Amino acid sequence: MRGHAKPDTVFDSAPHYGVRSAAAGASPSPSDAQTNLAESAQARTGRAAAGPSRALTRRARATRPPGRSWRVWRTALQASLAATFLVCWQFLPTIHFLAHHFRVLDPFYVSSPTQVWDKLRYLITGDPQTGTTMWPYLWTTVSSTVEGTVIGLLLGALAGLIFSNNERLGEIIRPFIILANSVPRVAIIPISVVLFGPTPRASVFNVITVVFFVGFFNAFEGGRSVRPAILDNAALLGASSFSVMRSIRLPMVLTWTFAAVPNAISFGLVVAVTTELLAGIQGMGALLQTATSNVQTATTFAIIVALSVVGLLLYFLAVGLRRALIRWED
Amino acid sequence: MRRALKPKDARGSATLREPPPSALEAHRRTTLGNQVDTDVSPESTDATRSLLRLRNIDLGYTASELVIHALDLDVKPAEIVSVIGPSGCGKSSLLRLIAGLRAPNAGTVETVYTDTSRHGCSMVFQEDTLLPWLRVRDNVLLYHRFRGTRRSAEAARDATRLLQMVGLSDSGRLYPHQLSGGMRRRVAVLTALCAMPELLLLDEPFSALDEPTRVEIHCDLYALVHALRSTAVLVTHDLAEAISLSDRVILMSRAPSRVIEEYQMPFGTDRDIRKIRSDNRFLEIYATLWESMERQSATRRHTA
Repeated sequence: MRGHAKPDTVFDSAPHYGVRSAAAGASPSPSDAQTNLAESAQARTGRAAAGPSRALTRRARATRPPGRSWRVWRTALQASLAATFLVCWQFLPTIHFLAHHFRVLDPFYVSSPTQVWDKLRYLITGDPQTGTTMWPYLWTTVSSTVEGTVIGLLLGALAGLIFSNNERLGEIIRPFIILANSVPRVAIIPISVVLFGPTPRASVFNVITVVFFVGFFNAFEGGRSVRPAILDNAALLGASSFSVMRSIRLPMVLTWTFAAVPNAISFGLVVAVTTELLAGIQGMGALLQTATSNVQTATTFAIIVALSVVGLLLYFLAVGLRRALIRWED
Repeated sequence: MRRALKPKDARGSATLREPPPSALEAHRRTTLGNQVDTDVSPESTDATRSLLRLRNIDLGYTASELVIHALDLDVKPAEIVSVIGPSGCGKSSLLRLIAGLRAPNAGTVETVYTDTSRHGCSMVFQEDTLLPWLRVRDNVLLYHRFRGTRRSAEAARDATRLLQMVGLSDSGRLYPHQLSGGMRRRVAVLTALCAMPELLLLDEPFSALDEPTRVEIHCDLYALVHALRSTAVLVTHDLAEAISLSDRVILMSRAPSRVIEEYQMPFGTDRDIRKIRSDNRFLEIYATLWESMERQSATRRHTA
């Protein structure tokens, strides 16, 4: 507005709503008002009024619930990614130049999807030469995982509930819990084998030592996240400390603990297989140890695929269990 | 004719403010005969009739940063009292003090509960206190859950009756996340009232709701409190809410606050909450309260 007298109000320099329309003899419309305001904004700033920003548009799009077309797109993209990965795995190692220069593409080390599939079939139906299947080994691994996860989560949730209900006790014990959680689990495996022998109990013990802390930290934070107003209300209604723990903190702890189940199952499976690998316990870890010792890469990858599928199934099972038990969430 | 206000005594207690004369003649004659006695300092009140007595209360985080200073307050049984005042004057802190959730730095809080068969005090908080994992009916029965009597016939009867009174009979099996904001606030009120408290405290319980919903809940709350013959202390920013619900409105000063004015409402116990806002007396009282609140806010702005 250089060279002009400063207007008394910011609108003085702009065409007023209704003035033009009144002069033209027509009654003003809302769109006229918007046009006038946009023009006045442009007159003040010297640039065209902008629409919603890109960030705002992205946010508006993100908050819309996904429709059926997105689910179709998502499935198609997931299938495409998997297919691309398999195609690359199958055909890139056959390119001599790549296989020669990149060890990770050497078929001796990475095998191929078709060979892995053949070995997986033998693991499922039985090796044509030895008749060995993976099912007894898988049962050992899965049962150790599930048993250790359930016990670990229960103990962790109970400890989290008790220490979250008593703030001072929680403050005292917390550094020790963090210290214990920092111990490398791999170092505990030989101790568990000494304690329990090379049996599935050693696997269960190690799974408990990992999953306990997953459960504890979730439960502890869940118990402490109860809103002060809820605790005040409970106190006014005459709740005892035990009633608060049972009726208020326990459901919060359960909610947070169940939220941790999918992760806990995944960690448990990894620890169980690692224990079997190192201690020679007759589970999928032992099968893996045999395959790698004999440089049977196809069999090794077949076992890895089998474990991954089992891990995924356990994960979805845990998610389903959570949905069935935690019905009060939006 | 408006009388001059009696000067405040040394302890800072308020005198009962004479209501606007043009609006409240009938009220004067009804309650006090033909003479208006504005001298109702705490000493002259019959102390045995008070359910709640606060004397010389100091409240603050430190001795030098008091939010409330030298506050006196009396609340009679079955009375509904609203507390209004500028933001930050310690209204919510006062309520928590009455509830026993905070201890005063100085002074005494005395509650005289006369009915041993009833629960003493419960509160409706500004925040949502519904337990998400309990259905509506179970939330209402929270008091009985803590007492171990939630399966009793009496508890079932109380819950059914209360839900019926606010039109939530069909919502007993819903979870809180399935309720609207107005429904959640109603359930919070029922949770507090299911304990049949002698004293009900409400800390800005309806501030997040739209006006029509608030008026509907006011009707429910008023009916419930009178049906249960409870005493209520309501903290609110909403002057209309304070006037329409209360028997008495108390104005607190800015921090360090004390009670500086009290207004007796002329509407009686058979008031129609929905229609009261069109009453001329309501409008005059609203204007008077507005002026008083503005003065307090202006005082705070000048000294800020």
